[in-house]
Amino acid sequence: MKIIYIIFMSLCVGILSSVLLVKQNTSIIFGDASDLYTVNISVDKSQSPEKIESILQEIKNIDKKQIRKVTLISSQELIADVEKVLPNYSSGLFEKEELEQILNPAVEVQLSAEANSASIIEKMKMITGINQVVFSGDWVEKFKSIFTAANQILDTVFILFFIILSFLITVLIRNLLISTKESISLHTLMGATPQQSFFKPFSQIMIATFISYIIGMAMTFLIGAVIRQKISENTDLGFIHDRMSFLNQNSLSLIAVGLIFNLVISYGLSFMYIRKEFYKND
Amino acid sequence: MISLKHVYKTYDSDRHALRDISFSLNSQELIFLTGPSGAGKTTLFKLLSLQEKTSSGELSCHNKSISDFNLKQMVEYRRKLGIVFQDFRLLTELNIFDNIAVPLKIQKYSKKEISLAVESVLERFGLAEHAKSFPDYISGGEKQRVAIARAIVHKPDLLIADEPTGNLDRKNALSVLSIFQDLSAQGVAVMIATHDEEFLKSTSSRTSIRQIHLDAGQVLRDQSL
Repeated sequence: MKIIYIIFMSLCVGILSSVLLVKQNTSIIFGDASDLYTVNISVDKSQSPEKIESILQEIKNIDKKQIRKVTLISSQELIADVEKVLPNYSSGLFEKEELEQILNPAVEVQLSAEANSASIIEKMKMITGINQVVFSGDWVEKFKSIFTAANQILDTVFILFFIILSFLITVLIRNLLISTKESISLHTLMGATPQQSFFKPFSQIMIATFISYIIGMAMTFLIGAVIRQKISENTDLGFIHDRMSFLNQNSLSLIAVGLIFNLVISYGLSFMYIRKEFYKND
Repeated sequence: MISLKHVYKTYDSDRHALRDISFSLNSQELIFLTGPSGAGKTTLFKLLSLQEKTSSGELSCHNKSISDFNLKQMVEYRRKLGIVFQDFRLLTELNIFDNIAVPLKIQKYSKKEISLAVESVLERFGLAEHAKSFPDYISGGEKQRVAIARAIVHKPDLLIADEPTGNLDRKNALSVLSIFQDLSAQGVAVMIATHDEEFLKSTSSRTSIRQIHLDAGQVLRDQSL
């Protein structure tokens, strides 16, 4: 019976943590990937510092919620970047003055994942003094609705699984305790308190639950590692591979707290059952 | 010590397992509860061990109604009770020593006290060599002795035994009877259910012995032997 319990619980933990793992990674890859939602704006060279400041303000004013961050990169900063990127032997290729002629000051705008980028870009293009607007995350934009829907489905799946498995775990623990009814009954007749009478079977269940947690997590870790390996073999998906991670502390805690919650509920129900069954006078 | 006044136990509203039972059981008293199968002996034991509640009438211990016991009082009462079950009810996953030690562990005796008490009863019942054996590997008679040893190891105030000599030969049965009489002489109230009335004739006159004969849930005879 306890082996069946460990297998079942390990599968429960494995399924729940896998759902969380997928959810967490889709969120990291597509949801919070702010750099994928970056708009690069090139400002006309002729603009004065005051005008550039006013352009920055106009950009911010388009939508304060959807625009997360606006950063000005001056021509000097861009030159410094170019110098850093170009190898030392070609340092004399361009004169600094020449670079200043070529490179316009730029503005980097980070949008929130929920932003309506098309509309914001249109508004940016209408601001006088802006030369060019480039949005690198338009492909993400196309799939955003799919990612959002997938995330919502994962949320629902997780909650449903959590409720169903919680119910099954509670029933299983109760049945496990009932299977030791003979021993519990004998203990109660010898003067054991309800807690004393099921201390041993319940502590065995707690140990089995802990083992299941470790096995379930190990299963999820292995599944995650295999998927990561498969993705790394596909060069087109290299950026996903870099962003993938195992369950964070919050997710690990969520599963652990869920199991503890189930144990507490089962303890309460078992206590009530034993009290009703073996302490009829009370 | 224990008193029953007009106790009834009815199942399914019309099946009377016990009808109008009245008697009292005092310290140093040994009562033989006799009667055929279905007479109500086991039901009476279930009432005394608080496994069942009376349908009507009063069952009291030291003048306090058992029906009014709360959880704490139930636990206290049961700790002063020793029960020998007809089917032994030994825990198969524990060895003989640990089976006998169960009531002491429940009452949180120290390891030293447990060891002394259990070894003493193991010697008394000739079970010392089986201390490490498991119930599935000993004979029926030995199991019965273990069950009795477990019931008396914590020196209960009241001992109830359901057919305690059913699996013992004459010699061992008399030895067990002698132990019950000793316990009774030491102040324990003992109630033994048996269908073997011949067995009663083997008792000595060291203690006050009574026979209560039940039939169809009623007391037909209550007499001193």
